[in-house]
Amino acid sequence: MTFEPDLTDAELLEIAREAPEGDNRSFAELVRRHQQRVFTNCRYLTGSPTDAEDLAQEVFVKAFFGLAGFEGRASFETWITRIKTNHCINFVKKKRLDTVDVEPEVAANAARKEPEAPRRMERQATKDRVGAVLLEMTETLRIPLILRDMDGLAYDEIADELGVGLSAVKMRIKRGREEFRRLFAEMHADQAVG
Amino acid sequence: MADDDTPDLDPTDLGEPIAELRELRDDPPTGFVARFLDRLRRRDLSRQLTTLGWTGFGAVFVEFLKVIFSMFETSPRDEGGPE
Repeated sequence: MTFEPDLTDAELLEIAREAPEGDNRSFAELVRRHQQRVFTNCRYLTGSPTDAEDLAQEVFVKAFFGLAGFEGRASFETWITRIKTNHCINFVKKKRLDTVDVEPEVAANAARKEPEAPRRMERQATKDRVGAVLLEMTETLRIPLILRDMDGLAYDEIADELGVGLSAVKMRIKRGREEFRRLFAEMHADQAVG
Repeated sequence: MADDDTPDLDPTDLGEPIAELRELRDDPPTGFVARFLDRLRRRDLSRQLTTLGWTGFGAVFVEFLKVIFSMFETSPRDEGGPE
């Protein structure tokens, strides 16, 4: 059984709920649709590329077993974002990742590629640079920045998630954006020179 | 949050390269969905075994209680009834 691509997430959720036990195909389709986003978020929220897949899978497992409790007031994407944020922040709190695994090859790859499809390569290079910059930022600034600018959470939601005041959240996002821009420009300049 | 006096940041004034964050998508390793489904099956099996374990434990416990209560039940012979 394959699912029509025009089925909405809500329709797939409904099918998943009504499916007999053991039939996870409709939920698997939801996972297929959202895997990139959840994986990317887990990767950069925790700053731990090696744990990202495990975290992303656990987010989907939690969502699956929480299907009965999902009332459908929010979209699936909003719901999964909530689960993912809680899960990743708990992970960070447990591990207290003071030092971050920077993937040097990510940035290096951007410079190494041959200019065979310039537009696409430039796009890929920018994406790699964004990822490398995120992994270079400190957790204090990176997490609020991702929750705001990648996930689109409201300031008060971020404050609740992180257990800090609203002013602190706004300040961290402001500083996070500045830091992000600075590192991005530096990396861009380094690659232009190199 | 009435005590907050920090001016709101303009959420639309992101500019380059912050706007790139919204579009950032990394491909998960190949076979991500298959591994997710395997994990789901394992988790489901483990939940079922746990439930079964508790059900078994509950059944044994109920039988145990029955034995205990049956020891205190008085039989007609103990009450001096006709033999």
